[in-house]
Amino acid sequence: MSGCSKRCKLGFVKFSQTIFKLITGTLSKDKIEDELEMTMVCHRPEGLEQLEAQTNFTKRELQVLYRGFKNECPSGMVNEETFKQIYAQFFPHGDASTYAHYLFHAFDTTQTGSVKFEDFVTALSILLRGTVHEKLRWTFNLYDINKDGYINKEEMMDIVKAIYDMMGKYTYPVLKEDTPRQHVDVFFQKMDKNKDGIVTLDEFLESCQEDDNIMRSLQLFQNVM
Amino acid sequence: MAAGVAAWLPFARAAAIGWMPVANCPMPLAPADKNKRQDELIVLNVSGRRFQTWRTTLERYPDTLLGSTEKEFFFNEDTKEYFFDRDPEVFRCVLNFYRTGKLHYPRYECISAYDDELAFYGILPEIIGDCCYEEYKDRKRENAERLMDDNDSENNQESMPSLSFRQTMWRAFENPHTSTLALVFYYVTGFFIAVSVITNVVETVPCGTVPGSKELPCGERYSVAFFCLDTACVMIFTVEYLLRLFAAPSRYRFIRSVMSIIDVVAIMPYYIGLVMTNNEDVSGAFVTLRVFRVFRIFKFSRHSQGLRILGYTLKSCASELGFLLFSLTMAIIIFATVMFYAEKGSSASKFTSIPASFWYTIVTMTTLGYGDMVPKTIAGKIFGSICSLSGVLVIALPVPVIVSNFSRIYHQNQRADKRRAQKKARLARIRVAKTGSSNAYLHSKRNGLLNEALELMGTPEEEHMGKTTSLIESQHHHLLHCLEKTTNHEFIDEQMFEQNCMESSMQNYPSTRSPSLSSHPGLTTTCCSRRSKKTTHLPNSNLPATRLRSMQELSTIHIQGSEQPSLTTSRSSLNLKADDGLRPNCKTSQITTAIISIPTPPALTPEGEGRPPPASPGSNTNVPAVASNVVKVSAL
Repeated sequence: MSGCSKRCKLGFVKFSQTIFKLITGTLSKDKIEDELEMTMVCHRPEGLEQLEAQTNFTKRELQVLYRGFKNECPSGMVNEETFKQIYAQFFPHGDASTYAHYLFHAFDTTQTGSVKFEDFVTALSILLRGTVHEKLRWTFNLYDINKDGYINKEEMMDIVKAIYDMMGKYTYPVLKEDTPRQHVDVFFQKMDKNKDGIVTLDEFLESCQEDDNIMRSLQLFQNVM
Repeated sequence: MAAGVAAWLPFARAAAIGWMPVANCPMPLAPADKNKRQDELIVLNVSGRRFQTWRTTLERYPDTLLGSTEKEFFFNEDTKEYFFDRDPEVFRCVLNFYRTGKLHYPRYECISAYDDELAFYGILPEIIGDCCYEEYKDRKRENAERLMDDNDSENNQESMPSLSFRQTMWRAFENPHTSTLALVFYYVTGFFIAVSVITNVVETVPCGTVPGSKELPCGERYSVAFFCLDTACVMIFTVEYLLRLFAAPSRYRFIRSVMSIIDVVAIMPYYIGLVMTNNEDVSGAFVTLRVFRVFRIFKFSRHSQGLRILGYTLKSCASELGFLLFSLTMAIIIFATVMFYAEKGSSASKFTSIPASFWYTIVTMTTLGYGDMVPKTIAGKIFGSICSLSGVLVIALPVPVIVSNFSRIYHQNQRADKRRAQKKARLARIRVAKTGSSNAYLHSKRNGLLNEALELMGTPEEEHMGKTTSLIESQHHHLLHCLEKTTNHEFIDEQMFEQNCMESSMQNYPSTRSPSLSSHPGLTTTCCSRRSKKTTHLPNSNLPATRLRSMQELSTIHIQGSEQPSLTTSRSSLNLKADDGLRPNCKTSQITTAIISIPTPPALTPEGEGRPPPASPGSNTNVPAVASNVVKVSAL
C-alpha cells in the first residue's frame, strides 16, 4: 500500500505542478527527448605488438582484421544484436540468428555480453591458425551451450536445428520435421563411445580424430586470411 | 588538459622557483622523461588527402583514436604514413579539434554521417563547442524524431508470427486495417456513435402537438422508440468497452487513458438513469447527467485522425493556452473593476457588482459586443473603448503560436503518412535486391559445377565459361556450399521449390520408379501452393521434355544425346555410389546430393549435347566421386 500512496503523492505533486505552470503561463522547457544517450562506451584494444605476440597473426593481418572490425563497430565492442546482423548478411536464405547467438557466446569467453577485438582475434587465431586439438576444443565449447563440460542431446539438437534454420525454406529436398533429430542421432552414435547419452571432451576429441573427413575439413579454412 | 595549456606547462614549472626558498620540506623528484623523442611530423592520409601535424598535437587527447596506440593499426609500413579510409571533409573538423581544442559541426554535413565519423575517431559529441552545439542538438533531435516515427510505423506493421487471441484483438482495435472483421467493427461503432448523437439532438426538437397539450419535443412523444435506440447504442458501446478492456495489454493503463474515460462517461448516464428512475428527487440531477451523453461525440476521435491531431495540438500548446487564459483573467479583473467604479455613479446602471462587470468585460474584449450591458457615463465609455482595444491585442498574441504548433504537427503527420506509403515501395525494392544476391549463389553454383564437370572432361578452354566471380563472392559461395553439405540439402529458389512440391505430389501416381526421387516416401503435398503448371511427367523419365520445364540434372549434360536405358542405368550407378559415400554420414535415404538439380537455361543444353558420349562413362564415375568427396567435407 505504501507504494500506492507514494505514487499517488507523486501524481498529485506532478498534477499541481502542471496546473501551476498552466496558470502562470511558463512556456514548455526542453523535454526528456533531449537527453540523448551520449554514453558511448569506447574500447581500445591492446597494442599491436602485444596482440601479435598473443595470437598467430602477423601485424599486417591484425591491421586488416582491425579495420574490418572497426568499420562495423566503431565503439570497439560488438554486442549480440550487431553480431547477429553481421552474420545474417552472409546467409540471406534463412535465419542465421540462432546460430549467431551460439557463436557469440562462444566468442565471448568472459560472458560480458560484448565481444572486444581481443576476444575476436584470439578466437580467430585458434580457428584459423591453431592446432587441431585447439580447434576441436573450441568447437566442443561451441556445442556445449551451458558450458558444463558435456554435450547432451538437447544441446546438440539446438545447434543442429540452428544450422538447419540457416538453410531457409526453399531447399531441395524439402526439409522435414525430424531431419535435425536424425542428424543428431547419427552424430551421437558416432561420438558417444560409452553410450551414456552425453559426449565428453575426450570422447569428442577421440571420435573426431578417428574420422578422416572431419580431420580433412578442419584444414579447409587454413588459408582464409 | 586543453590545447593551449600544455604549451605553458614549462613556464609554470619554471615559475615554481618562487616556492623553493619558502618550502619547509624537500621537493619530490621530477618525473623522468622516459622516451624523449624529438617532436616529429606525422602524415595522416585520409582517402588520399594528406594531413600533416605534430605528433604531440595528436597526443593531447590520449583517449581518442588518433591520440592513442590504436592508430598503429592503420599504419602503412610501405609509405610510412597512417591511412584512414574515411571522409576527408569531416576529418578536417576532427583535426582542428586537436589543434584548437574546439570541435565544430559543419552545417552542410549530414548528422548521422558526422556522428559515425566521431564514433570512429573515438570523440564524444559533447565536446562540440558552444558555437555549434545548438545546431547539432537540433539536427540530432529532428533525426531522432524521424527515426522514431519510422520505427513506430515499422512496429505497427510487423506481422508477428504467433499472436495470442487477446493480442490479435488488441491489434484489431488499434489498427482497423489489419483485418476485415476489424474494419467492419470500426464502421459499425462509428455508425452507432453517429446514430446516438443524432438521436440526442433530435430528441429535443418539437415534434408537432398532441391535441389537448402543448407542443412536445420528439423525445417525449416517441419516448419508447428513443429509449430503444438509446439502449441499443449503449449496449454496443458497453460491449465495445468491455472487449477493449479484455484485450488491453495493460488494463490499468487502459482504464487511465483518455479514450476509456470518454467511453465510460458516455455510457454511465444510461445505467445511472436505469437505477434511479424511481426516485423523484434526483430526477433533476438525472436530467443533468443526460448532458454527458454528448460526450459520445468525442468517441469519434478514434475514427478521425484530424480530431486526434487537434487534440494533440491543444495538449502540446497547453502552456500557451494557459498563458492566454492567465493574461485574459488579469485583464478581465482589471477592466471589470475599473468599469464598476466608473459606472457606480450612473443611475439604473447594470454594473451592479464587479463580478457582474466580468460579463461586460469578456464580451467587450472578445469583440462580441452583445449590447445587454453598456456604459452610460463618459468615463465608462472611455474605459470601455480602451477595454475593447486591448482585448484584440491580448487575444491575438498567443494564437499564432498555437496555429504554428498545429501546422507543424499536421505536416509531420502528413510526412509520416507519405513516408509510410513510400516505405512499402522501398522495402519491395530492397527485397528484390536481396533475392538478387541470393540468386547469385544459385547461378554461380550452376556455373561453378558446370565448370567443374567440364574440367573433369579435360576441356580446359571451357573452364572460364560463365561469369567470373570475384574472390569474395567465390569465398562466400564456398561458405554456402559448405552449409549445404553439412545439412545434405541444397538451396533452390522459390519456383524450383514449388515445382518440386508439385512433382512429389505427382510422385505417388505413376508406377515407374524414379530412383533419384525415391527418397521421398510419403511426401505430402502440404508444402506446395496451388500453381497451375503443366506437370504431367516425372522429370527423370521425360528428359528430352525437360527443356520445356527449364529443369535439368547435371549428370544429364553428359548423357544428353543418349537414350533412356543408359540414362537410368547411369543414374542408378550414381545412386549406388552416392549411397556408399553417404552411409556413414546420414541414416536418411536422402541421397540427392549426388544428383544436383539446377535450373539451366536452354542455351546451355546444346553445349551439353555436344559432349562426346564416350567420355560419359568415365566422367560418370568421376562426378559421383567428386560429389561424395564434397559431401564428406562437412561431417561436423
